[in-house]
Amino acid sequence: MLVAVMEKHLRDYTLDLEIAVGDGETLVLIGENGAGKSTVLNLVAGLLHPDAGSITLSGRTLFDDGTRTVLPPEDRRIGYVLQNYALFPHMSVAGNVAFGLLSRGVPKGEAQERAAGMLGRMGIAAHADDPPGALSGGQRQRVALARALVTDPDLLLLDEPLAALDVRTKNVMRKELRACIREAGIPAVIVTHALRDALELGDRIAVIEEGRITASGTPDDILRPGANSFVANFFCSCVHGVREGESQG
Amino acid sequence: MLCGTPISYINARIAYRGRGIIDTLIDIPVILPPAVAGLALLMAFGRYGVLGSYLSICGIEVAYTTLAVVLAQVFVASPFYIKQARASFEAVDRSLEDAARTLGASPVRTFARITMPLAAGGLVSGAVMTFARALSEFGATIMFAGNIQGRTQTMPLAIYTAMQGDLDASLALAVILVIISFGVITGVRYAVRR
Repeated sequence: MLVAVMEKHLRDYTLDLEIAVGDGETLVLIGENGAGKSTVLNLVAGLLHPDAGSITLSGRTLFDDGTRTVLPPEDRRIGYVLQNYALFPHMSVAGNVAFGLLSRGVPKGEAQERAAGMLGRMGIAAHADDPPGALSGGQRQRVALARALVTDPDLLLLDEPLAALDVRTKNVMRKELRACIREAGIPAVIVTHALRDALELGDRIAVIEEGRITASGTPDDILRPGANSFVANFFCSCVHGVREGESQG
Repeated sequence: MLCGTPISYINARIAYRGRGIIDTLIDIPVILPPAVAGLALLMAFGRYGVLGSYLSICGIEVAYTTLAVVLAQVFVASPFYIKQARASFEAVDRSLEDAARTLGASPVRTFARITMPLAAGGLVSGAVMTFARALSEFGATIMFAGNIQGRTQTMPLAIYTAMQGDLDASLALAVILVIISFGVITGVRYAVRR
C-alpha cells in the first residue's frame, strides 16, 4: 500500500496532492504535458524531494518532513520504468536486468540466474546477450519491466510506458503490461497522457492539472458526462472516439 | 586527471553558488597567451613570488626546475581536459543515473558503473588531447622553467635551441614530435570510436 501526501513548489505552480494505492491496484495519473505527472513519480521514487508531506510504502516511511526522514532512492525498493526506458547502453540485456540485483548485494551467480529467469518469463531470453540498442520498442519495454520487477519491489512506477511504441506494439504491450502488474500483486502508478492507456490499464484514474488532482475515480466515473469540466475539455472528442470504438468492437 | 575529473563531474552535475567563477578561472589559461601564463607562474612561484617566497623559506625552489616544467604544462593544458571531461559527463543521460539509483545502486556505484563507463571515451580523448597540448607547450615553459638542457628543456625548446646552430638536429627532433602527434591523434580517434 502506497500513501503519499506531497507538496512541492515548482516554477509555475505548487504541486499539492494526495494519492493512495492498494496492493495489486493500478492508479493512472493522466494530464497534459507539464501538469506535474512525472514529478509525482520522481517524488515517490526519491529522485526529487517534496517540500512538505509524507510518503509511506508497505508500512515503511520513505519521506516525512515532520521527522525529517528522507530515504535515498536505492533504499526505497521501488521499481521505476522511466520514460524511454533508460536502459544502460553499455551493458547487455542480461546485464541490465542483473544490475539491480548486484547493486543490492545478490551474489553474481544467483543474480545472473534470476535475471535469466525473468527474461524467460518476459519472452526475451533469446536477446539476453544483445545490447539494448539492437532491440525493438516492445522488446526494450519488456527489458525495462524485467529490470524493474526482478528485484521484487514493493511498488511499480511507470512513466509513459507505451508512448514510444507504434500502434500495433502498443496494443499488445498494453495487455502484457496489465497482466504483468496483476501478477506482481503490488501497487502500481502509471503516468500517461493517452486516454486509452489510462482506461485499459487503470483500476483508478486521477486527472492532474497544474499539480493538483482535479478528478479521480474508476474509468467509468471519469468518463461519466459532466463529471468534471476539465476532464470534458481535456478528453474532448477522444472520449467519444474511444466509446464508439468500444461499442463497435 | 585526478583533480580534473572530480571538478568536471561536479561542475557538470551540481549547480552550486560560484560555479560560474570556477568555470571562468578554469578557462583563463586557455585565453591567456602562454608567455603571460609563464610570467604569472613566475610571479606566483618564483623565488620572490607571492607563494614562492614562502616556499623558498622552506627550502623549496620551484622556478627553473623540472617541477616548474610540470606546473607550466598542467597550468596551460589542464583546462582542455576539464572542459572535455565536463562535456563528456554532461552527455551522459541523467535518466540512466536515475534508473541506476532506483535499482538500488549507491551514488558511488552509479558513478563507477554507469557514469564513468559512458563518459570514458570522452575522458580518454580529453586526456590524450591534453597530453598533446602539454607536449607542444613552449611559451609558459621557457618563461617559468627556463631552457636548461637535461633539466627543463622540453622537445619544443630543444628544437628551438638546436635550430640556432644545427638545422638537421632540429628537423630530426621535429620528425619525432610529428610521429608522436600522429600517434596521439590515432589514439584519440580509436578511443572516440570505442
